[in-house]
Amino acid sequence: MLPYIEIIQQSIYSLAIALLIVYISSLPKRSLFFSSLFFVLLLVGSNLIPLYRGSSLVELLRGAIGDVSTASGVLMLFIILNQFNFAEVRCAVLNSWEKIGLCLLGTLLYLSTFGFIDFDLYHLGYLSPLMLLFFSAVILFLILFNRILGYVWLFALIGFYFKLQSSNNLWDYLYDPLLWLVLLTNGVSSVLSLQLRRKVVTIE
Amino acid sequence: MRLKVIKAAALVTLCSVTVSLYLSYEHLDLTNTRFRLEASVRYLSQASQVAMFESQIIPQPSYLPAAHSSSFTMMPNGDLLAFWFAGTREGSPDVKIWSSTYHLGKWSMAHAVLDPSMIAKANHRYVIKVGNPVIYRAQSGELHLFVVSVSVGGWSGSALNHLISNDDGKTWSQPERIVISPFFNLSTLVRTSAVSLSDGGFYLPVYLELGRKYPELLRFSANGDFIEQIRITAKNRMIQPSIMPISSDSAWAYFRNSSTNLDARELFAAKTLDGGKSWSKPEMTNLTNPDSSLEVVNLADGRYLMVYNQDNRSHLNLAISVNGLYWRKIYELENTPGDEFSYPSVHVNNGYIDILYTNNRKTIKHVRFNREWLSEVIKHATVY
Repeated sequence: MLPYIEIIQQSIYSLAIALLIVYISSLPKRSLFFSSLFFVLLLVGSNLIPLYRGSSLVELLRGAIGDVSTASGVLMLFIILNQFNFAEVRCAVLNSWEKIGLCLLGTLLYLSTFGFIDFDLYHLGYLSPLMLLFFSAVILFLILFNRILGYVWLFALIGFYFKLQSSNNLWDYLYDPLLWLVLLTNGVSSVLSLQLRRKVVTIE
Repeated sequence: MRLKVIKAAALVTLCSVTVSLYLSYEHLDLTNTRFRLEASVRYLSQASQVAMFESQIIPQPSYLPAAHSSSFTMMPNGDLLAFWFAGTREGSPDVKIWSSTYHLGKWSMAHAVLDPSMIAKANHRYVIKVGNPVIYRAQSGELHLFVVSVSVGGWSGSALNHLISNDDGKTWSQPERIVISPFFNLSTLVRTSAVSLSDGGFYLPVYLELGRKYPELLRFSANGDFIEQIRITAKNRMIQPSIMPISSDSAWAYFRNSSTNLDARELFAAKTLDGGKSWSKPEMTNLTNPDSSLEVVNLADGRYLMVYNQDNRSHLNLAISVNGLYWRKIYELENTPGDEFSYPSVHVNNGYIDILYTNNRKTIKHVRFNREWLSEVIKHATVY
C-alpha cells in the first residue's frame, strides 16, 4: 500500500476521533485553548498509545471498520465547515431527497454484496464506462444545481483517478457503509420523531 | 461571482477526469480471457513406467498441536513449496503461517513465515488471527501468497492479504490488504488454488460469507495487480470454489456445500465457456459434500481427478470423471472413524500427482503417486 494512502486514512480517522471527543466533551464552550490542546493530544494519542495487543485506537478502528471512502472524508469536512458557519447562508449539507437517494443506493449495493440480489452491482465499479458516465452525469447535474454532494462526489472521482485509496473500485470512493449506517439511523430517527410529533398534535 | 468561478472550475475538472478515466478504460483489454492449461503436455513425455505411491508427514515443531489448510506449488527445479496455518488451535492469536520445502524426496522442518502482528504492522490496523494461506507461482516466476486475516469476530469477518516473493520464497513483500468487498471490506476468504491465464495473469477463487455465502473469482494481471472480481453464482452456501480448466475457454467450478440441511448436501458444479467471465447455473453432480473443502484437477488425458470427503471428514477419497458431472470413486486415501482428513490441495506435476491435506488437524500429510499407480487403482476400482 502506498504511504500517502495510509497517511490520508490515518488522518481521517484521527481527525474524526479527535473532533468527536472534543465536541462531546463540550470543552470548546469553556476554553478555546484547552479544547485545542485536548484536540492535539487526542490526535497524537489515538495514533501512538497502544490500547490492545499493541494496537492504537486508530488501528483498532481501522481493523474493525476498514477504510472510509473519499466521499465520506470530504463530506465530513463539509459538515465541519458547516458547523463553523463560514457560508453566508447556512444550509444542510445533504437535503432529504439526497439522503433518501443515498440510503437507497447503499441498500441496493449492500443487498447485492450480501448475495440477496443476483446482479453484482459492485462489479460495475471496476471497469464499467457505463458507471463512470452515469456518475459523471449525476455529478454534473448536482453541481449545476449547486448541491454540495456534487462537489463531494467530484472529489471522490478525482480520488479514484489518483488512486487515493487502496481500492480500484469506484464504489469504494463514492460510498461506504459508515455513510449508509449514519443515513439509515438518521432516516429512522426522522420518521420516529415525525410520528411522535403527529401523536402530540393529535392529543392537542 | 465567486460561486460561478468555483462551479466553472468544478465542471472543467469533472470533464477532464471523466475523459481521462474513460480513455484509461479503453486501454484495458479484458475481453480476451483464456485459461492456460499448465499440466497438459509435460507429463506425456516424462511419464514413468512403474507404479509409485508414497506418503509422508511434513515435519513441524513439536510445540504446534494444530495444523490445517495447506496449499503448495511446484518450483522450477521440481521442489514443492507448501504453506499452512498452525498454532494452538484454529483461530487462536498464536496461529502463524508456516512453510516447508520438499527437496529430493524430503520435506524440510517447517518455519514460520507470517503472523497476525506482521499484517497488523504492515497495514496499520488491528489483526487478531490469520488462516487459509494459498500459494501461486506466476509464469513470471513470482510467488503470490494470499492469507486471510481477521480483526473482529469469526472467519466471516476476514480480509484478504497479498504478499509477493521474487526469490522463490526466501523473502516476502509487506502484506497488502486487497479491497474486495464494499461492506467494510469484510468477509472475503480464500482456500483453493489459483488458475493461470494465457495473458500471464491468474484467477484466484475466493468466497464471501457475510449474508449469503457465495463464490467469486479475483482476476490478477501478469504483474500481480488485482484487476476485478467476478461472481460465479449467488447461490447460497456454495463456497471454496475449486476451478478446473478443461480448455482455453472452458472450466468447471466445484463448490463446498455449507448447507446446514443434511439432506441438501449435493456437490454442485458450474461451467464457464468464455474464460471465466460468466458461469452457468450450478448443477448437481452425483456426489455429496459434507461441508468440506475439495480440489479437482485436470489430468490432461481426458480424465479429471477429485480429492474429496464424501460423508464426513473421516474418509478422504479419490474420484475420476470424464465429463465433470459424473464421478466414480476409485480409492480411499484415508478412512479412520473419528479422525479428520480434509482440505486437500492437489497439483499434477511432471507425471506425478501430489496431494497435501490436513492430517487429523495435527499435521499436514503429503501423498505422491504417478499415473501408473492411478491406472492400477482405476482398474481395481470396482471393489468400491
